Amino acid sequence: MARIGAAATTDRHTGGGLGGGSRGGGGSRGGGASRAGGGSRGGGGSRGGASRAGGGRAGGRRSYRVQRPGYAWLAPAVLVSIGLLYFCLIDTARTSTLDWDGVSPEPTAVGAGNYVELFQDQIFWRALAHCGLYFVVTFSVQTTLGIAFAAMLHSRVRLAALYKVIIFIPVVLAPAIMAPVFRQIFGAHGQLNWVLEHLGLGALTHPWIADSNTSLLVIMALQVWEFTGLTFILYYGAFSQVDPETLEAARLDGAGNFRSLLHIALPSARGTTIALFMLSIIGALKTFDLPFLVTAGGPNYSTEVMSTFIYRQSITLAKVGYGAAASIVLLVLAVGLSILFSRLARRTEASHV
Amino acid sequence: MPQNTSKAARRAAAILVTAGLLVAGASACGDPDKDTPTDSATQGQVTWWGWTPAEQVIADTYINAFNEEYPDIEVTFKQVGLADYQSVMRPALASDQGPDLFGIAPGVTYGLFAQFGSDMTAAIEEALGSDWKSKLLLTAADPLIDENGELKAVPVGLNYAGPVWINQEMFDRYGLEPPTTFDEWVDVCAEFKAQGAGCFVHGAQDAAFNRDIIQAIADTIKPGLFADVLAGEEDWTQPEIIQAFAAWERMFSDGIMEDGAQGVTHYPDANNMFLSQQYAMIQMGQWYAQYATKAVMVPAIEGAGVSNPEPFTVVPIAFPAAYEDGTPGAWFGAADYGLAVSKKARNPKAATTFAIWLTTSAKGQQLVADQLNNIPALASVSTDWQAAGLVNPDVQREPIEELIGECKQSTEGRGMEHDPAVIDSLGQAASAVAAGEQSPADAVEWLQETLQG
Repeated sequence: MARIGAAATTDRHTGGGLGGGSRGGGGSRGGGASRAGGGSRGGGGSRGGASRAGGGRAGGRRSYRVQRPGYAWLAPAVLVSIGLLYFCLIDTARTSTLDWDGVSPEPTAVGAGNYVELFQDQIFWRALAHCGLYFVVTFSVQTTLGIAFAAMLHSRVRLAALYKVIIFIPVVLAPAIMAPVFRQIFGAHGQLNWVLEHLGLGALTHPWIADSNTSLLVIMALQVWEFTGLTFILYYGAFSQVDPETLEAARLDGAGNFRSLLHIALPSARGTTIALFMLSIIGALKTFDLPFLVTAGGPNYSTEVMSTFIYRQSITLAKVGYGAAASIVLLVLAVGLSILFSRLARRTEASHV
Repeated sequence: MPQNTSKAARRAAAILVTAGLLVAGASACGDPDKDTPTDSATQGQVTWWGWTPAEQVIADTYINAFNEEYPDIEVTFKQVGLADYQSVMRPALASDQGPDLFGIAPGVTYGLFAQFGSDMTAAIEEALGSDWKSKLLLTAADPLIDENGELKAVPVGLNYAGPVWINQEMFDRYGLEPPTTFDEWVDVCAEFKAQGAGCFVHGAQDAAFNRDIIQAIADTIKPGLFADVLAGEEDWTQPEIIQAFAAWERMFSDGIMEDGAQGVTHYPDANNMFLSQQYAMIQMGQWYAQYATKAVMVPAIEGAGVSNPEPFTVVPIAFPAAYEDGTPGAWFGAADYGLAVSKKARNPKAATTFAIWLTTSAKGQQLVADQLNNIPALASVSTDWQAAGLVNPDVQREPIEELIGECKQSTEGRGMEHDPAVIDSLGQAASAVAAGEQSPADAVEWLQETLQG
């Protein structure tokens, strides 16, 4: 199957981790990664060496002082951050305490009323549950497929470049463009049912997006189709960082392809897996385009997720305060889960050093 | 030191030049004419935003006719999809860059956007006299008047839901008669399917059109009851309402609805499937009469993806009776939309001129009548059937004329004026019943608890 580690490209993230941890920063690739990241990110150099080796962050951190003219160049970014992000956040929090249709000059203050109503709203809990299921399924399937494709394409496959392009193309296609195509394919008289009928599998034909039992499954399948390419590319890059000598040693010890993948390549790509895990959580919580464009959250709210719930409340039903309350809950969940899992990840990584 | 001063000077100059370019760029983005407010009622530029007319060709017809009388007022119509109307109009009307003229429908959009419209009472009085209300159809103006008695939008026309439209040529091809009861409807659909043709297409993904069907069904059982329930004057748990939901469920279980209807939008999906003659029947309101004209139907068929569009004969029929002892057909509706002049309009007088011309002049209202998109608000105006340009006048004129005549007499509302949460909950119940996830009795019980509990 795969001969992992055949290519030698630089992956800053994984390279830094491997260089600093298992190889003590001595490898040329680890050094390269540190140099690449060191100048612009400041901490990059130290992450590549000292901190991973347990030498302490403070010792490796360089001190930068922004010179006076520099403030002028920082100002636009700071203003945009404060103006667009933090101001909007605070204003959304304020709006969440109002009963407001979004245009009325006299909104009514309801305190925590919107939150009380929200936690009693069954559709809200369904939307949240759908996000959870969405994360579990899409992360598991995307990761499995991404690893499988990356491992296979690290072996000597003919037309490997073509396969890479085919796997990656869905990533660059806008969901807004693809949504009508998906609606056509998965419709009651769509191409999927046509294919099933012509394969003699007519009994399996189904109105896929019109049935609340299958609609979420379709949306998750589309998500997997769209983002497996990204997972593949990240794992492909990560596997390229595996030390060929380690793999060679494993082979001499009798490890086959699967064991090499499981015990050498995957542990080396731990950083990639953690990053994808966190991105998938946030992605599942804020996913909007596919469920909105393909099924509009239906039928019977079977594909309603947090973002479509917020949109429906804020725009369709003009309950802007209620929608803002749901947005704040979404924000707290996203930030809370990110912090929780990044800490867990750091702890896990530390236990492997 | 001098070198530092020189650098600072160069930096300052660069910042000034950049700022200047940005300002110049920003000002170049604006339309210089649009930015020039006028106080004239006979000249200037007017921007008009609305979800209707749905076809640009209709808006162009209005504007071109208007320009024959007012050549110095340039009206630009921008179609904003109904689904996006609220999200687009809210920031637009709150800013200074919104339209001069915008559409308002009774109900949700009125509740949200009427506050941005000027009082049009004086303008309509000037055009029609102090007894202007008596010159309009029954329900035309009332939903557009606020609690202070201000007319926030002048009504262009009215719309009624209730009928089903059929492709007469498909019925003729297979030798079928339009159904008058649900039992007949089931048989007709079975026959179409046996011939490999689609029967009835509906976009059950859209709650508003599901409401139209359930109201139409309920009206065949007990006319007017559903409107009273929507208005909160009767309970949801009335036996006739449960029967209506049961008949709705039957449409799915007995093969009247197309397979997968719950994954289909009414516009554009279902409409496109009807216009491309994949299906023989669709539930649409009286506004669908516009597709009986060649001028609208041909581009609409082309828009549905048919390469060589050939117009065909569409005819309205009464909604079939859900039960044997029922009465087919009832029409329910109100003002479709009114034109509001924004309080922030750059050219308010010119905008008022267009709005008043379209809604009160004989010529403007005649155009509205002839386009068949709306029933004109002005009671004295009727469609000129020669000008309308029907595809098949011998077959179409009589049923359409009869439909419009009966709609004019109807006072049953379509429920547009109610809280959108009512429609949302109704949509949820309808969807659950259609999927067999909830019984009709449980669904109405839930509606009673949610909306009137």
